[in-house]
Amino acid sequence: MTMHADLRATGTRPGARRRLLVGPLGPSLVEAAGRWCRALGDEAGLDAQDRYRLELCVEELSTNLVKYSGEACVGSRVELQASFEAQRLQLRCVDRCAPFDPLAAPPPQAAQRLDELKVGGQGLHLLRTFSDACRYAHRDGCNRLTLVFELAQPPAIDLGLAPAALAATAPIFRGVPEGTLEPLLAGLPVLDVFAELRLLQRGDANHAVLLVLQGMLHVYLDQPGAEDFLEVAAGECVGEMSVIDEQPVSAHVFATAGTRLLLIDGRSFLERLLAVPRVARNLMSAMAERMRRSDRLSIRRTRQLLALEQTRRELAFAHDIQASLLPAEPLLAGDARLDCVGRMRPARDVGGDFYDLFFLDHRHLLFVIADVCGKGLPAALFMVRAIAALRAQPRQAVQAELLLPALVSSLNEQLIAYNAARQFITAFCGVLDLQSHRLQYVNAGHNPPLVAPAGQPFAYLQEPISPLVGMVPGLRYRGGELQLAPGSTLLLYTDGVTEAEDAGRRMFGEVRLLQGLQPLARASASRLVDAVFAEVDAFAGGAPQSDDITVLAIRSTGR
Amino acid sequence: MKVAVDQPRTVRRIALDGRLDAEGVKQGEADFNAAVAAGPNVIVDLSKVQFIASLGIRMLVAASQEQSRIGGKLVLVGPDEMTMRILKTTGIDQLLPVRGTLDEALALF
Repeated sequence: MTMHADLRATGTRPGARRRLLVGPLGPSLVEAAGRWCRALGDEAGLDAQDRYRLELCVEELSTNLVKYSGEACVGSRVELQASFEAQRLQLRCVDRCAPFDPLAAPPPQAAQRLDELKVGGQGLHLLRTFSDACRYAHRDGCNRLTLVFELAQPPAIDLGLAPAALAATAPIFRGVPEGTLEPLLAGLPVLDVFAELRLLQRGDANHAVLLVLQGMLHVYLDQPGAEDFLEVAAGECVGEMSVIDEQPVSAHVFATAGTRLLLIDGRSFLERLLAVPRVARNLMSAMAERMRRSDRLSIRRTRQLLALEQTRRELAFAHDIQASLLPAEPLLAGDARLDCVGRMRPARDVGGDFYDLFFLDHRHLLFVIADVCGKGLPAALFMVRAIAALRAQPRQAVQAELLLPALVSSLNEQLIAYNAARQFITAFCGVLDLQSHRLQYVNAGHNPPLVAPAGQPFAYLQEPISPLVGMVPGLRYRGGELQLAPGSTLLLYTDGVTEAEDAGRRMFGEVRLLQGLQPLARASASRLVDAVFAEVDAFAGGAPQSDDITVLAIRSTGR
Repeated sequence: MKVAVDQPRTVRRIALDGRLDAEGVKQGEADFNAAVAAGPNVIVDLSKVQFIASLGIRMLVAASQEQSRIGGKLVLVGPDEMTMRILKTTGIDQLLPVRGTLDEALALF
């Protein structure tokens, strides 16, 4: 939908005075059309009867259009064009609704009784009766209904002078000798936009310069509706570049409601207005200013892009650093007694999950999986702190079974200190004795891990659960114990797994995790980790990952 | 002995002032309808109506139908020349009594 065809169609004819009303089809049309044609009557100095006829026809035309046009063309462009020539007014309504010839409808039958009267059919009948001639045509996808009024007295022909006076305040006409403009501008159509409307679309051919007489145009260099746009205020114009170089329009131009424009067709602009030296110079100044404005806009945008690019690079770098903080693959340097695989997939560039495992001595393996509250950079920074604090903990205890609770308590105290953002972690820590196959663990508010003792199915390790780490000082953490055998498997994960959502916002859940893993109680650690990620991804079905997902599988090989 | 009691008929005059176009009807229709429905027999005074279009006609026709329903009558009075032309064009003058003056209108009750 473009202005192009219409602007050409409304090109000036010598002696004609034109007024246009343009806007989207909708309930506001009727009121706007009424106001527009009353102003027109005043401006042209129509006598009372002609004014009444015009207002009646415009009212019937517009109510009829709004009422019977159907849903499909609400918002489509409607134009009312008034053209005064000698002692005749020609009123044309152009709409883009389904073809409908109002003149083809038979005149309503005279009703015999009150209850038989069909008021609906009266509007078109009034149109025909109160205009002096009507024509209908369907052309270029538009209904064009033309009404002719032979006026009782000649219209005030200085209709063209009022816009000339307004236009004379425009920067493009600054300093032009008095009396030069009036003959050049007289007869150019004046267009009123009653509700927001796209006037020009990028890529369209353009044949007219639009000079803003009042109101405002918005010019979108990028996408319509984007935050960046140029405002074109009263006195300024658009379309002059495409008229000069005959290239397609380079931007989207919208008019705000209540905008009044002077339509300067390309020929009048190039041959008559630009022939005035002062106008040519003013235009060049205006273009230079516009170019500077648009340069500033693009410089600002480039800066923002560069800053964004910088942030992206830094985040990618942070991602690599974070990955390098996790224990190196193969875990435990491929110790034959164990088969361990860990994987973290952050929701953003960096995440707040982590895992760690190392030998306390030749037979005791300490392992941890943890989840920092939140995600993204704040969580990642806290993760760095937590993993550093964990690795700095004393690794020996007077009694081996006191080691884990003491370690978690100490970690708790350290994370509470200097924690203005009140971040915290959930963690599952365990120590597996590779000789006795005894597992000691502390669960600090973390998801229960899955355990498959040798040859048995997976089950959740539910008890005991202690408070999370980093919130409340002075906590004593309680440990649990489980006797395992060679060939047992532990699967630890963060809530990114069980709380993964599908498109319908259902959660993956613990039941689905357990069911999916049950056939894999004897599978290798890497198969287990692959299986969990595959199940979660299949479930999410492309729904965006909202939290970090981490899985750590530990299997004793019995060797 | 014969007893005859004449109850003087009450006729209310509803005066409209302004434009009976889409906007004017939207503004005044509810008040007008309420006034019409308040009781039988009304004179609708159009002498201060400067403009009427089909939505205005529809409002007057609906009012007249309402009057018939409640056993009353609606008479239009005082349209200007253009308004009268529109009443004629739409055939309303054949269906509703239209009079030039209030006295002529009152004589119909």
